[in-house]
Amino acid sequence: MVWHTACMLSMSSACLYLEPAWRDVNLRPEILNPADFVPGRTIERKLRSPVDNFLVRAFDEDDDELLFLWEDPSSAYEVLDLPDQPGTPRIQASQLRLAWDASLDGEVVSCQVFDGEDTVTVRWRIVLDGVDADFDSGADAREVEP
Amino acid sequence: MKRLSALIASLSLAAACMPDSNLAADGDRSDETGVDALDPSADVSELRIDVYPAPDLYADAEGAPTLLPQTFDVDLAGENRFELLAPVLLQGLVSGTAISPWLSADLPGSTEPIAAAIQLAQARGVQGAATSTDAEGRFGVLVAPGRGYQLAVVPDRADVPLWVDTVDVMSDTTLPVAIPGGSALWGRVLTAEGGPFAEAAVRAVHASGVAGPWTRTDADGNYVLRVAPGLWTLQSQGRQNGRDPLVSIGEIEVDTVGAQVDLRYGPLAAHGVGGTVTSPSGPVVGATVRLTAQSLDGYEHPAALTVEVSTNAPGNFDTRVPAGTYAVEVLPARGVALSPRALTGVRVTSDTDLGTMLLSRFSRAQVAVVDPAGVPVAGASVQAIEAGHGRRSFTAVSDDLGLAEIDLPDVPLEIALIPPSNRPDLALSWQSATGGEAMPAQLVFPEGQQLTGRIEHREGARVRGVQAAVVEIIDLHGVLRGVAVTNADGDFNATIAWPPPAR
Repeated sequence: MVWHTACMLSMSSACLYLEPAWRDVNLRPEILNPADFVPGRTIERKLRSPVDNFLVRAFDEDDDELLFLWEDPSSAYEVLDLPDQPGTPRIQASQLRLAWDASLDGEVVSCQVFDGEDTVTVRWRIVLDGVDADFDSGADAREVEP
Repeated sequence: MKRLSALIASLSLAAACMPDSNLAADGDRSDETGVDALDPSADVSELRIDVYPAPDLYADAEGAPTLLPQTFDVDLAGENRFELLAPVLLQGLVSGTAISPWLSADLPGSTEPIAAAIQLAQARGVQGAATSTDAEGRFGVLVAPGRGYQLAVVPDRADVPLWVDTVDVMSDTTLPVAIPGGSALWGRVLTAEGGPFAEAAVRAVHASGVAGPWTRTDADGNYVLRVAPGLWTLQSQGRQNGRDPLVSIGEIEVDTVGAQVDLRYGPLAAHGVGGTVTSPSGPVVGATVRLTAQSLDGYEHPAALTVEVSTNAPGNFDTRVPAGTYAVEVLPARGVALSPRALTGVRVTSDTDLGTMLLSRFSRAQVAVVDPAGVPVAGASVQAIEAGHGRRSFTAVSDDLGLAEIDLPDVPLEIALIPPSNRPDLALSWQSATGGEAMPAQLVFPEGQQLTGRIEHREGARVRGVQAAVVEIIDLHGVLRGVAVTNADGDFNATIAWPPPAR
């Protein structure tokens, strides 16, 4: 390119031009839900009782297969995955389900949406009313007979 | 970019969800898809639909929800058009009788505002709410309109009874909660030798499963709780060291004059349990070693204890537990490609060295995913979840030949087989398998039938579809049978296995 520019400036009548090699530019996943998603910003989220779902819907202009990588503050969760919605590009979605628990107040849930090249991260901070609540039944403690 | 087949904690579930243009206005979509609709005469009374509206789309300017999750019964005779009702406000004032005979107030106590935690839940489905009162006992919470909510009021203090009632909340409701003084549930917590167990945490659990507040025994091991007359379970958690068993005495009948119940612990002397966790590539750092008591020596009441400890840099762990028989699980961290390991019937009567426990690497499985006719299915998701252990989740997507390659731990697994979006005739299914050599070479989709419908809500006089709501079809056993996301018009289209697979 430098050579080509110098040649042009020298008013030469014939300058060899080499077209730069074409490179695919990966387009990052676009987050549809949460609708209030802003890259880098943590969304405050009031946890619904008795269970709540954190939903991420995204589309990828390249129609790459998206991977949803969840990180959560609790071991008591389920990743429940959702149907693709056909279209061009199709909408892909995943959700994480958390049981309401007072100990989750202030904890962060995140989901990395990965298209094989780029990652977009959605992050929520849980806010709760009733952080002193104690609704556990004790049923999760595994009892054994003496 | 090619489809990725990877170990991940999630997957993009590709079940049947039809494009907007495929949805006929009259609700009969079978012609467009070539898939039979569910037989309206079939017994689907066992199916329910849980609807989760997207909280980011349905909230007012202050962030308060304008729609909340709701549960509906499947109605094949109708069109499965369900209207999410606007939340209503349940508010109230909690007061209670504090039994304080040493005060100059009239005996037996005084009525005063009570700080408490509030929970509303329905026995079946996803409708509910939780909040807490302010210091004056006031609370307010938005909830989806519904009947038969269980209202639990858990006072912060143990001298006021836990209150459980059933309420209908169909519109904005003000509900004064005046908790009666109840009856005393009292007694002593004793050590194995019969001496007082001081500072033991004690609580009462209601027959509904809701637990009341903790209190602590005094220096003589005495405790007193206030409860409503009825059936209760008494629990003691012992000291605040996380190593004392949770001891329970169930089916305590408390009448209006109360009940006296003593609870005796077994031996609390702890013995050391240690070992080393390793793998073919060296020590395993950060694995969780979980010891769960199968039986505890010398306990006359049911007792439970689970202790967890992490391995350090050389892969060693060391903890202390009372004498008994334990199940020991070694749980690698998420993202570590090692199989969990479990030992049962481990006797601990003195310091115990469990030696070196070797965790095996994952085994690679190649699974053929086919439809009921044996035709390979491309683009299907195979999600394997550890049955127990750490419930880690692993996912692969079948390639154009219907083959899915997936690295799995050598333990029992629950496998969700999720059809691609271009196969609305196939249903989501759950299968059991074991990783490693026992992993089946082929996974077969069951035939599915479509369940379609629409989720709506009211905006003033207009009825609109609820978009981007998650719709889950759940059977009588609580098993997820189908899932869909509503489109911009609120329509959903899920395919479920029908008739249901034998359990």
